[in-house]
Amino acid sequence: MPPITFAVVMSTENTPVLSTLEGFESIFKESYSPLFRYVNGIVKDEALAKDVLSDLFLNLWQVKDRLKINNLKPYLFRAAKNGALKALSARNQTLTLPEDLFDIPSDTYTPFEKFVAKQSIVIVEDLINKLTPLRKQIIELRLLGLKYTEIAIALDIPEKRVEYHLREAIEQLAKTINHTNLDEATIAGGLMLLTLLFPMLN
Amino acid sequence: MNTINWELLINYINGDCSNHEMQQVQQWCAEQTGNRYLLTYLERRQAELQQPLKQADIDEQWMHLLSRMFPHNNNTINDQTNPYKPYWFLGLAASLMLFSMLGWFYYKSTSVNNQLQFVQTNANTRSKVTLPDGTLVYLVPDSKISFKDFNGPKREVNLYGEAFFDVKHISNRPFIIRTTERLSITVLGTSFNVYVRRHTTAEVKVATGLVGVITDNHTHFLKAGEELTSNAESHAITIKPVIVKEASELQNGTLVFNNCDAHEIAQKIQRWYNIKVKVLPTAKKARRFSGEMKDTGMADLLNGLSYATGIHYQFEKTNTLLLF
Repeated sequence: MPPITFAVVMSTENTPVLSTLEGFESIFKESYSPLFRYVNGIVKDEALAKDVLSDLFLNLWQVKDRLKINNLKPYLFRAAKNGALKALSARNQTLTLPEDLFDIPSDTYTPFEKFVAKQSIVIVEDLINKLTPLRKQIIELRLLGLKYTEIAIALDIPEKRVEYHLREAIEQLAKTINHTNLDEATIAGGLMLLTLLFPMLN
Repeated sequence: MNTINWELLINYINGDCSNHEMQQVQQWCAEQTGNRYLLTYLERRQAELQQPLKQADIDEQWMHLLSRMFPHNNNTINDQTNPYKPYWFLGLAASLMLFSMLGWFYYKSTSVNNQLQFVQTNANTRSKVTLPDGTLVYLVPDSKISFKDFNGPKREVNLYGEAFFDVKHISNRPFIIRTTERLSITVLGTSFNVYVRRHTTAEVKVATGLVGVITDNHTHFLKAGEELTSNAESHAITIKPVIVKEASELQNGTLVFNNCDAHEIAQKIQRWYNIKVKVLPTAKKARRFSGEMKDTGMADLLNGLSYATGIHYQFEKTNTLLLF
């Protein structure tokens, strides 16, 4: 990533100045909630999420004078993601994005809904959980309200790739839904065959 | 013609799409239940992600961060020798008064926790109080602090008058001082002097640590060696340096004079002893005084000052001190 040149962040825009304690406090209080939700989505542990953010802001305070940041928000998300993964790896000894990143929590749908539309919900959960970690992250950040350019900076990928993932037709998934139904039917049929065969084999 | 994609669904959820696009999405939902549930999932996930945390939690995290940004150094009052030896009797009298007052309160109340507890000094007494958390408070005459439940996540006291606080450091339990003059102070573990009286400029002087002073929803941060004043009418705030020894005068029982003229000496005596002081024009020509004077009684103090500055003094009938 090429170095970002320093832009005058002071009175031209209404962004709080990073270098004063007051400005720093504003930034902390305004960005805390979304950063927390994002990190908690990765580490799935509220206490750990708080620690990650505490380290993030402490580090930011210590290096603020040496920092040249054009756009603070995506920078914070990027640092948050790195901190979250580091915390996870300290726990689990894994350095890659876990496969269950941003998986659908089991309480997303009410018990009634699950009863009524059990099959559909299972398929939706399955599809979401099977998305690549990168795509899941992009969707997550988009739901947090970040724009394409901000997501690109936060994840350190070209903006075109962000666009590609978000513009991917879900029609494909709809097809997969139908496909899955077929596969299940085939498997069910196959299982039956096996059970019929076994007694014969014995 | 757009295909149904993530961007379109997310825009739909935010109400950020054209009528045509809206119809498209609704049609898609009607095609199969799985589609509808996918949309529901996105709606709920967004609600979760955009739900703000409680302000109190965020404030707590901020205080915790502050204590990491400005680490607390462990000078506690226990390390120092008791500076109050000359005040033995006075301390005993104050403690007895304190005990009898608190005793009266305990007797009156069934559950102590929600009762307001207070310590008040009258015109002639000073007081040193230890709060339930171990914080030390040194009160000048004619001052009052009160507090309710000290076991909660926040330790809150109300102050009127003047006191020096040596706040016990407890992580995640900020200590908050509220005053009548739209000024409140939040700390974790520090020591500082607070002066708040009606119609007078309020002062906060920090001896150790970091203090947040909140006035009209604006927070100012003071480090050791800094003083904040808030004008009584305009509430204009100024922050300037202060000698740490001056900030911790009450704790050390020592008055600190920094190039003071007669008028400033008079002010100091007035605040310390709660006595009215009048300065005649002749005193204004006297030498300025810089130095520290241990409080061994008003007479000793005045004699010492008199020797150093040439100011004469006399007590008048109306319990007023005259400097000339």
